[in-house]
Amino acid sequence: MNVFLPCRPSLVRHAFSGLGRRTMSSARDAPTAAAATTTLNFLFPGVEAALSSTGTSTAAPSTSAITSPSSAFKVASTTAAAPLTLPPPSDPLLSFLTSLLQQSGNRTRASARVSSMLLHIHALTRAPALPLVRHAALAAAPAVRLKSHKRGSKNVQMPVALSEKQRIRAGLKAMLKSSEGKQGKSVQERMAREVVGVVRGGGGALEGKAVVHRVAMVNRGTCLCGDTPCAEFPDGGVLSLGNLWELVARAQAHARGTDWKVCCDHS
Amino acid sequence: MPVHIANVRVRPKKAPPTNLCAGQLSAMLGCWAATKDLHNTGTCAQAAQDLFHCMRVTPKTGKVARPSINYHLAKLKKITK
Repeated sequence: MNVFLPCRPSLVRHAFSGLGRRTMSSARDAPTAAAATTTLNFLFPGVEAALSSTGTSTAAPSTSAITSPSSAFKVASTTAAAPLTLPPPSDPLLSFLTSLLQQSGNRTRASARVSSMLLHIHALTRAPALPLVRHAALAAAPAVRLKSHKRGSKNVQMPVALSEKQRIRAGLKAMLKSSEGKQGKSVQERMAREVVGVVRGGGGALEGKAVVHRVAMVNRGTCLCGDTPCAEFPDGGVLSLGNLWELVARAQAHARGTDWKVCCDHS
Repeated sequence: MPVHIANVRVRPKKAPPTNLCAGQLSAMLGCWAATKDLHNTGTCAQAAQDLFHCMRVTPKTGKVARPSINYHLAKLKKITK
């Protein structure tokens, strides 16, 4: 939603913008006040002394005629020095979801669908929709991805950590795919039901995430190894055998009298 | 009878994927194996947050230059022609 403000955009600070802090009492106001007092002193000798004795520099701008909304804003702003802070122009998560729904470069249609999805969520839950979407995206986001790697004649699945953007994308993609089995004529309605389902603890997206995590857990011995064999401690720690001296030193530090077992099968 | 190879090329071996935060990842996977908390809602929540923080602050590794052996082999083929 665009909000019209009768002032220069650079004087307004967005919540997540990189603009530096600018107070309303900027350099532009000082010359204006000085010019006004000079004019007044010429017309009414002694007024400058009177103004300085009262110590109200804001009186000078007020005596000049307020001809434009910008000067009115300046007058109001000189009394309150705190900058005006607006929320960001678009939510990053919703922008990301819009990009996923976008087809053939039609951003307006995708944006309308996202807005309609938020409306459906609110109709289903009577609660603010954006926090629910955020919670669902984070809940459905997998933490790892499995990459297939050939070791000898055997294909092993190696778990690889994902960045935040990759996780969110994977979670939203899983929710979009799972929403195809939901009721509803439009994608926004089905996606809204999927979001509500994920928040309530169900949904196919969560099941898919559990499957990926389970396979990654089973193949946890390959995440550090690469092509070298691994050893696994009973408490779940995994070390690489690439540096034997380091392994011996760590084994001595963790000496508990328990035995190791080799977890990787290298054929 | 001599063997004739039209283009002498070497196909590089596929390298295993690099893991940026291997320690934190192995800790989280070990926590899953011990507690079965696959959704990181209970005991493994802290291990997951450590991994996410590491992925957030760790800089990405630069692109490794591909070997130019195939270029030199093609040059050699022209020389020996």
